[in-house]
Amino acid sequence: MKVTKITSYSVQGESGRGYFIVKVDTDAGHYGLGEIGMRGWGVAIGHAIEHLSELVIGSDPWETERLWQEMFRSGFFPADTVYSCAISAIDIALWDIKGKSVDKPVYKLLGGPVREKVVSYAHVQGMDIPDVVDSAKSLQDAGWKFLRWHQLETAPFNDRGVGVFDPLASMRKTVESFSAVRDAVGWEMQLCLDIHTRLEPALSVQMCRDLEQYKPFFIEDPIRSENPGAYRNIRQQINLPIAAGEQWGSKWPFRQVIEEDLINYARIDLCIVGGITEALKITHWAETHYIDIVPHNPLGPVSAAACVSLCMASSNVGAQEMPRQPGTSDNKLFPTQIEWEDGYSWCADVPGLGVDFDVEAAEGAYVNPASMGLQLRRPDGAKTNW
Amino acid sequence: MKVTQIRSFSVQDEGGRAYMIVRVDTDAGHHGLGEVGIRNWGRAIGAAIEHLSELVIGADPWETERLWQEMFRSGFFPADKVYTCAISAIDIALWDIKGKSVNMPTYKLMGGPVRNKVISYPHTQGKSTDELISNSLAAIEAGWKFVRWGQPETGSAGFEAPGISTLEPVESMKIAIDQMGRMREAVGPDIQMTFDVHTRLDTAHVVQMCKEMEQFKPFFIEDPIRSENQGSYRNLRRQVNLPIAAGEQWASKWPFREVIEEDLIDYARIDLCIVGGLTEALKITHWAETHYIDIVPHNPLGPVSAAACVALCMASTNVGVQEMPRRPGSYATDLFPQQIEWADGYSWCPDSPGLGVEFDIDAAESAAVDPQGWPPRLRRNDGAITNW
Repeated sequence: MKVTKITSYSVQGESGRGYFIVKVDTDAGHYGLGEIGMRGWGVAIGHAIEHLSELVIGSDPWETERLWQEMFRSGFFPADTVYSCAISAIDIALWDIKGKSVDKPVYKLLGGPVREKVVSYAHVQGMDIPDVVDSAKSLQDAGWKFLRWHQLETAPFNDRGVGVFDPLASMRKTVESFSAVRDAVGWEMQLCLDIHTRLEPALSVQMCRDLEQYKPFFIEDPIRSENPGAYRNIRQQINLPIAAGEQWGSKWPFRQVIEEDLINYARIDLCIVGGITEALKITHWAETHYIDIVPHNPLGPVSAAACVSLCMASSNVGAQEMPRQPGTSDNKLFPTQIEWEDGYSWCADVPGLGVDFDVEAAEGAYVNPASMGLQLRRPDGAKTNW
Repeated sequence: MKVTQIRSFSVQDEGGRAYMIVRVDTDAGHHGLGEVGIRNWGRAIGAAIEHLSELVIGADPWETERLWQEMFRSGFFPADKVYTCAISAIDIALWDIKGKSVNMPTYKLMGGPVRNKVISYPHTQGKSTDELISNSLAAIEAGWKFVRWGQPETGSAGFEAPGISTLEPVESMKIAIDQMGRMREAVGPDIQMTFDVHTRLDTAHVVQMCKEMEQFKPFFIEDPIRSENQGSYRNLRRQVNLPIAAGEQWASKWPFREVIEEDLIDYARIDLCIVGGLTEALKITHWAETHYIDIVPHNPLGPVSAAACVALCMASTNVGVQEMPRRPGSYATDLFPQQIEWADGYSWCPDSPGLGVEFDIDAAESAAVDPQGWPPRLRRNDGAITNW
């Protein structure tokens, strides 16, 4: 079996959400699907995928370790996040093909299932506290056992997608939202807060002290990701479980926070980190440190399927991010999606990842992937992270 | 496909070499082979294999990660070497079955081949320096590109008995340095020499000996100290100026943690038949990659271990060299009619389903041997125990 073609699709579903899907074809009739993690950089990543295709076309898709090494290292400069997104999508698609070619789900190729299903958390919507509380309650009613929302904005975005973010006001508002949601959903519900790199370390530490009483399951990305060593300081000052890692493009940025036990949950993004091949290596070393994975999955159905496959084959899993119930949106583009019930997700016992993509529907759904996304400024006009 | 039966075979070949082989059968007709790394503890390990069978029989052999977790953790106490040897043999056999069930070599199931063949080193030990040199030259003549020998024993102190001989450290160091000088002269600059201290010296001694050996440029020195305390490699790393190989006695990823994370070794001597099989060896190999540490899988055993080690090397980007005591296919061929390939100092697994090794259970019946025993034992001149 040989890879014959690699095609990228940047599409928008009926929901308005965009996805960047990669399809890898073979001469055996099997094809595989992958997804890229940074869709806003999709034009550059599309070029990287074309570039890497030169190394992959003609190869046996089973040789995922060899191909990962070829893709990551052939440019001499280690792959960066643009190239690691491209590697991720191709690698995930190769694993999908491997499963289909021997009639086995991918989680079984990874040595699983070690669990039947994985507890998953939904994204709570809303910028203001009453909306946040309403959204949390309706998700609870729908069966979710875990909820997540993020560091709240303090003013609406304008029509150019720029908003004002006042850190101290956001801290007060976010703590208040925690109190209100805890009151509304009770103590059985697990709550996760994504600070989303929006605060400076000193502010993050102060806010986390106030959050302790509400017992969040974890707080995520309390600081920016460029300097993993800064977690040493954070670890000494924050008394809550810490989740981090969604922006890292290989196992190397994870090294220090795992080896020094600086985090509790590794937020590996399979569509950025280098695919299933690289995610497994990180997951397995995290096991050595009793660190659980919580795969980052803000993306589409292909990412969701890859994440849940990894969780079903890994002994060290905290929870799985699942922004919305699989199978409930953009079903024209993705007619087969993974399973969900009562707050748990799982991959069906079908060959490959258990997700399908309709390339004909994709033709009419093309969208330019390049976008800077939403932007935030502090009240003085200074740049601050979204 | 379900596992139906797990059997252990303790056998001896025509040369007196013994092996403990595990065969796992399935209801699909495929079977797999594994090997135990500490054969001298074979009776206890045999009992552990029976014990673990309760967890494995009836399971799908593809579920290697799940079964590893079940086997390592179901006793509440983390598995020790007796149980990890048992886990190793079963896990390797499961990987063999997985390959056979989809008609693929095991190295391909692990994402390889990343290389066509792996450079290998034979054992070229001799009873004297002259014999060491002639054995080494014969190996080079046969095509090997590496030679390997170990910390030499020393002269009689008067209390030797069957199975007990003498190693007086300072004397042994002198002999070893002299051997390495004469070896380099005999084999020339292009042959790689590896030297196995085999945990026989104390730290101060090994540091002194390594200083003298630097001029002869060994490829690595192995097990310069005992293995119980990984943290001692911190001190050694500051004082020894040669590449260091260690790890053959470690029975999971946890003892490897410190030496990998602190970059205390250059070569990880993972023993697949002790560490917990291919499943655990892959995890260590992959984290060693993060630190640019190469693996040199420990393989003093038989053809099943050899096949598993070479399968791992063919699927791993970070490989130094593969231990291969003798040429595959040149020994124990009655018991193991199919073995992996070797030519010109390189070993490889054939492009055939599974590990590429076969074991004749009929031949095994007449070759049975007690799996319990002791390796050679050593004393210093004052009668104190010292490691073999």
